[in-house]
Amino acid sequence: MGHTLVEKLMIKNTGDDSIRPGDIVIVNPDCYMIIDAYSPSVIKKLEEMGFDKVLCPEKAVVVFDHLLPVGNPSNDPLFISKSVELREKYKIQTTEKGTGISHTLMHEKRYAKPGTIVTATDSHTTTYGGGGCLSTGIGYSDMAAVLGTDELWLKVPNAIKIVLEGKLKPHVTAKDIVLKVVGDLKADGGQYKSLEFTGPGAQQLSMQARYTICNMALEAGAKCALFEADDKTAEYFDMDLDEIRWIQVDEDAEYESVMTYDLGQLEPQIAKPKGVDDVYDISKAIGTKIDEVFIGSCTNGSIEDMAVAAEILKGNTISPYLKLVIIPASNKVFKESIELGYIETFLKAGATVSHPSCGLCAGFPFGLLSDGEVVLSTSNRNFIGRMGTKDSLIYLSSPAVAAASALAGEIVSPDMLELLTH
Amino acid sequence: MANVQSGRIWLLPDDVDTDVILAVRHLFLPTAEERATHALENLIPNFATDVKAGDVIVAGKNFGCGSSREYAPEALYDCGISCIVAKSFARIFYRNAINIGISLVENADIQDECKDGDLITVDHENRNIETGGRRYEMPKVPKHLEEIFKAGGLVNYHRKRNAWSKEGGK
Amino acid sequence: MTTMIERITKAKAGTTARVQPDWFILTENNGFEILAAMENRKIAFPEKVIMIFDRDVPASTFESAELQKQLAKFAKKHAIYFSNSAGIAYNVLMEKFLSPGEIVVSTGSHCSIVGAEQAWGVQLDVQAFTDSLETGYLDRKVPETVQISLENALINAEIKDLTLTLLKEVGEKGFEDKAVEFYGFGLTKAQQTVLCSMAGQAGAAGVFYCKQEEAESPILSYDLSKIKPMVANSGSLFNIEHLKSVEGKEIHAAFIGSCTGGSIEDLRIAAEILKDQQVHLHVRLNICPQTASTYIQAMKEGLIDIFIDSGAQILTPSCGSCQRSTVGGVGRGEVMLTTGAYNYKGCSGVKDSEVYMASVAAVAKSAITGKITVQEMGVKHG
Repeated sequence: MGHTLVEKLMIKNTGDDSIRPGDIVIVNPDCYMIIDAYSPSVIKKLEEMGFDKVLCPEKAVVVFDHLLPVGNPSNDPLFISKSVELREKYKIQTTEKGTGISHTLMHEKRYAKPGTIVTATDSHTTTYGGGGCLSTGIGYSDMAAVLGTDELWLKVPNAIKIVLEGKLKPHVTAKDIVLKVVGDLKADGGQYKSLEFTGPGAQQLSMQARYTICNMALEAGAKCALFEADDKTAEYFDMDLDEIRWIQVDEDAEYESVMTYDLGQLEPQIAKPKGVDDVYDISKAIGTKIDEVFIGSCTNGSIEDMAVAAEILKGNTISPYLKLVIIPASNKVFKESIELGYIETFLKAGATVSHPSCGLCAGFPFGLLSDGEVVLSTSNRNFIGRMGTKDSLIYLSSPAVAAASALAGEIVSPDMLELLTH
Repeated sequence: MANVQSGRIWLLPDDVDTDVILAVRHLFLPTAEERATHALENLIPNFATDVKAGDVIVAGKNFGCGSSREYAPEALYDCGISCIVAKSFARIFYRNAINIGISLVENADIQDECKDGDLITVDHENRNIETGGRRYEMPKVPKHLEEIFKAGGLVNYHRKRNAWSKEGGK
Repeated sequence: MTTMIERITKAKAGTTARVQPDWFILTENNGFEILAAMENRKIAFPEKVIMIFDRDVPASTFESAELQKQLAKFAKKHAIYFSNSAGIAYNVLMEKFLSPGEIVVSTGSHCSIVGAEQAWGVQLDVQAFTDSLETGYLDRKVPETVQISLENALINAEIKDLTLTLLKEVGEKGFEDKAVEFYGFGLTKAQQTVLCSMAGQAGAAGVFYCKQEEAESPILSYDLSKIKPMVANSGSLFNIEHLKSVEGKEIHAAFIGSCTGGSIEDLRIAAEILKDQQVHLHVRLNICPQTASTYIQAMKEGLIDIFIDSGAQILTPSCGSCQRSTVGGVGRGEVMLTTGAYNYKGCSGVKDSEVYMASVAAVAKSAITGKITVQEMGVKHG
């Protein structure tokens, strides 16, 4: 009988092809990543557990992405110096100090390769599944144990097959696909499961689009999310397609359920406050007044997202009094955005541009909101109080919707652009 | 933790996320004590001041969804919560809570049969819960988590193993 | 002969003149007090008012967010010029709006900066500022003027070093109740701007840079070619020594930006030093172009790329990490080296921290070595 993608990846790592959903397996992850936010706790747990050293430091990556630039000087510098300690004392040489968001760097710099198993101290670790990598998040206690033993227990999950067919309409993007899926599954509909994307629609998506989808799949409770590997994957990682061709869905694999989407029917989507799964067609949110727009995050901070925003903003200025916060996801995206004129477009449109980091997404000090204020964000969560006071509201959308709405001062569809621009 | 503990029920809804359990801006406070003072503050402003050791959270589905922050279950534990009952738990929260030593119970019946503030008793040894005159069995600890559970959390589990192997044990 | 201040106020020194400011600058500075003081009051000349957020952009605290929300509402109500992203208000004013001979009022202490455009910058307290917003005029005593002559050009030092040398000599009240006129042909406009900004800290009632003239009777004279690298020690702007005296001190944070260190010329100096180098593992370097226009120019010249490659982080145009406005501060027991305009205790982070003020070259070089390093100007480093 055939295997799901997650089973295939676990079989490859463990060498045991008898595994079934529900089994507990011990894997040796190929790469493990720690973010600055948890460096002190990871070190504390290593000490408490009695691990003097990291067993395989060459497999580890430390990324300083949540707390650089330093937002709260009373607390943040400690986390930076502990992250440096992971390098200097625990010999983890691969450190990314303020060069971008961890989840973006992990695939951009090819740390999370197709066919491998990767874990990290952050929930949106599911992102790397866009490149056929089984990636899932853990806490800092689990990570300390992984660092000390190079082992991680995982339960083989059931899988849901999500078939994408047809072609996206103009201005409709990967973000709209995943919002729709999360809205249908709801916040626990994918709990503990592997969400596996396939079909001709999936194959047409760019790598960045696949990463956007796997990033937000977490919001349906997924353990992991996966796309098949194809020539796009091979090119992105500079690998031979033959090495990764096996990362394909088997026709006779057993899936718990199958969802099918005709992408041609999809409209831009909006997640309303205060749940990521409270998703609607944009028509239900048109006209909602907004005070701020945030374009960035590991969900939508790629060069493709910057390009979409720049195309809409070019030659225009944002609604008076509105704040537009733009944060490219990595130094590479930042430099490319400079070269292609996007940053200049953003500044001339009236946006602020901050250095690649998680920024406002998780409520770091880059555009916080006060009581009664509303932000439209391209990130992945809209829980109460996440980006400001508990009386502020967050709507989630794609960069195209966000940029168009920044011009209008209210939520609009990008189709309405001719009416807005001069 | 004591074998039998009693306290009050804190009844919470579905989808209580990690931002509600402990908001980002409190994650970087220097001590666990300080972090614990902010547990659940956006949902129940008086939780951290009124909670007592032995109290139990009874919640709906998908408890702990959202971020991987272990500070969230840690803050609840430091407030005195050593047992959480929910219809279902989010994955990373589940792992983190087990690692810390919190007893997690999946049960979908209690919620409709109890009220916020009711007295509740948890018997960790005999694995049952009593409230409102009703007894609920706690499901068995999954086999692969037995050792961690017996040791009282992941830290203790590895600490013992490392000490034992340093002494040349087998 | 009439002095600059007499020409602008059309009155003689020693008399009180009634003037009509040409520009009223509103930033987040004293924001809540100004809003409270302006409740139910009108603005006489709304077309002369400029509101620019530059202290905390984008907002890094709930307090900032609330203040900015209220200020934006005020701007909308009174239909005044508004921007939340253009850059440092003074620099934007000078780029886009200011003409020589104009009068600018603000509650900020670096308002003297506009003297680089031969304009008169006046710092007012909240009451005087809001009164003049409402009435459209201001009564002010016309001060006596002193002249300072600057000969030759800077060779081994930067404008910050000259400024600190001057402040060391005149002291905190050195220019009290006086208008100061600087003369000399050796400084660029950007350098004149830094000088005028900082000179106001010695209590001057007005500061001007006089173009194409020679000082008639200077009270002080400096040979710029002899100026050496200086440092303002942590805690007091007037505790100034040669930079060599603190050489070797470990730093944790570094800032290149502000109205006294974020111009295109400053960024060029920084880029020349940071090119193909790496910021030290233990140091956090933040670089902040003064205005959106400066940022765009810096991108065109490839400077931002150099900064990114070196491991520095770029902040959006604003006051940046100067005076704990926004991100990039310094923590407990840490040391920051800054090109900013403030170095009092706790000005860019927690109270238990140190902030030393120096030139752009010193900050850039020290960010690489991890400790305060004297960078020789004009010498290509290895």
